[in-house]
Amino acid sequence: MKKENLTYEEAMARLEELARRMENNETGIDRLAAELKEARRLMDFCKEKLYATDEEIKKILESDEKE
Amino acid sequence: MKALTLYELNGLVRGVLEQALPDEYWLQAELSEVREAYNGHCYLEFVQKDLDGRSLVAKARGVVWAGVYLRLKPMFEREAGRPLSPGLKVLVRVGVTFHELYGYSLTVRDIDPAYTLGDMARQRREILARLEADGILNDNKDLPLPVLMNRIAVISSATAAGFGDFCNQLLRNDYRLRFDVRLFPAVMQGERVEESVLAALDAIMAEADRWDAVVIIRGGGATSDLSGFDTYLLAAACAQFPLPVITGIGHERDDTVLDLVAHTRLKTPTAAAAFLVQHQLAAAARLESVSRSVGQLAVARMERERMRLERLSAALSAAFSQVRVRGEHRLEQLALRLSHAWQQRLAAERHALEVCGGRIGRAIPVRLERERFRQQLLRQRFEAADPAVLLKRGYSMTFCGGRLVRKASDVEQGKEITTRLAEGEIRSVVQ
Repeated sequence: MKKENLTYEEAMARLEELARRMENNETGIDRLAAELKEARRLMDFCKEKLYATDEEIKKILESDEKE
Repeated sequence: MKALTLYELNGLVRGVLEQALPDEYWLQAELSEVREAYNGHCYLEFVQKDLDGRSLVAKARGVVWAGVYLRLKPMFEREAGRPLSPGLKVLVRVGVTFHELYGYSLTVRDIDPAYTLGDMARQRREILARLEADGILNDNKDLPLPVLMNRIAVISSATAAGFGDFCNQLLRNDYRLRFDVRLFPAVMQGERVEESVLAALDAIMAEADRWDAVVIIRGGGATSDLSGFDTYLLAAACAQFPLPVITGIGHERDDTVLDLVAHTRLKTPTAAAAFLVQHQLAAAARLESVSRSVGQLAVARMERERMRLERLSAALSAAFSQVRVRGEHRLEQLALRLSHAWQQRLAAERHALEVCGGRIGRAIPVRLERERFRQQLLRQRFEAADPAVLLKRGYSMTFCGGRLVRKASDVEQGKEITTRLAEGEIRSVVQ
């Protein structure tokens, strides 16, 4: 699945789909590693959107000091 | 006829008015102007509009003297939730006065905030009814909140404390949640609210894909003037806005129309920020949960697969051992048959041998008998030749000098001869 233009909701939907497939034993053992890797990538993508980086947090704290 | 001075004429008018209208009257009117003077008095202008509200049909000046205003102002603001301001419909108890210099004026003695409240409520009801008739009342509420809602367009006044509170609460959340906030400044109280909030909404609309939600906030106490948020145009714009609108316009009393059409209504900017943080926490929890379950499911899947393999290998080895047992069984049977056959063969051989042996056995005595007979004949022949036998028959043997004497001439006189008989010997001397 293409990474650019992926929205958070699409990523979550895909993640949930992967989880469901695993739950229902639809994931072939040959595909398991690949799907796990894909899930990992989607999780990282979502986390990046959800959480601030250290740099951003530093910036916020610095702007507080200026005030 | 003596001409009157203006002062005299105004004095007459004043006298007549004071005589004809000595009482106080409850008056319903709309304020078109409110001006607090430095000396504490409050100057007002009352108007009445025609039925479609376009043109004035009556107008009068009014005043609240400082002593009265000191008492009425906080009471009204507390009860009505807003200050006296233009556009407000009020019910006031007035006395009618006329002053030679200042002319006709209404002196306000009391005000009934319940009337204003009722009127505001009526106005809100009318706006809501119109939004409903337009079919847009719940449009914004029906928008799904995006799962990830952290790009926030804020409409507020840059100087308001509310915006600072909001940013603090949002950006310094304890969970490191990311939020991108941009302020679209607007006037948040007074007459220009509608116009400037609409302008801010337009600015956000121009880049709607860059934002997840609109937050309209302002700080301020319960007495702030919220009438600007009770307009049809603003409510319609918010209701139809393509992004969810979240309000936190800082008041405890009745909801404004804006609050009623907004997707989510919160009381304060801080509460709005807390709401957004909570929403992101829910997204984080969902991500966390699905991440965990993907991991667990993958592990479980591997475990199941491992167990399947184990079962298979157990089944395989069982099958194998069955095959082996069968093989061994066959081998045993084979061995058994072999040994059976062997024994049979052995028995047969033995039998053959026995038969053979029998024949030999029978042949031997015959042969032995024959041999014995031969030997008997031989022995008889030997016995016939034995001197002892002749001796027994009475013959005797004579030895001389150890040699057998066959002729009498073989002996000389005087020689000793030995005669052997069957039993014993006789020694004699030849004469």
